[in-house]
Amino acid sequence: MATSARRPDAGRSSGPPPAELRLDAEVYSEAAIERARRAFDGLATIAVRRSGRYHLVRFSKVSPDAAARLPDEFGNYALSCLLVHP
Amino acid sequence: MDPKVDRQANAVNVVLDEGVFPRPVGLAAAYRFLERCYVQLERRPGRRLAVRLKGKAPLDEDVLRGLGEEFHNELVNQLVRHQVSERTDQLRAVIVGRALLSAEPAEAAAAAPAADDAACLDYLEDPLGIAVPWEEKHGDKRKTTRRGKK
Repeated sequence: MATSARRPDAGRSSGPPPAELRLDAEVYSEAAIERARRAFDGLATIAVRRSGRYHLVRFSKVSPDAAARLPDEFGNYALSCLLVHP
Repeated sequence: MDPKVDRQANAVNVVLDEGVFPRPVGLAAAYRFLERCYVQLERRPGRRLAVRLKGKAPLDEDVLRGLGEEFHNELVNQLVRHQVSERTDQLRAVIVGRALLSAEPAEAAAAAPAADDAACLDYLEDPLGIAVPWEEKHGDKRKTTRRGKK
């Protein structure tokens, strides 16, 4: 199951620690994730990398207002992109 | 395929068989839940798809279980839509094709009367009686019929 987990980041003292979202590459296409990344670009610094069969999406410098729900909202948006822009 | 509630994660997990519910059906059902909860999908071995529905606000166990059951219903709903869509695929293509063809300027021009024919038409002539008021056409008859019935 795709999960979101918070990880401590010693390099950054301001704002919440970076969060990571793991999305199954067999379900979520690269195009959908890239579209979501661009949509959420203004709310955080988002880095995407492939690790085995997963896309690892790392959020840092997250806007404090959006920090709590950003990874989940990102996942929802990526899922909607799968259907709207297949 | 029973929904499994994960209270700690405020989520319910459903695993569906892609042999029964193809991927587009699972995606379409998940899409319907995006407004109510956070949805994540993951492929599982043996053509299975795991769906996690996580509450946007804290939810109690019954509500989470209900969410999973609603998801099952939505799967069936989307499966029927998918099957109907596949069955009527060719028909839709024909209907849309015809609609687009009739909207082509060349087709519309062919359907319109030729300029020579139009020249001999006079708007004062009213062979179909379009300009005649309804009362003049039918009003008297109706009165006569009513009177006749009385």
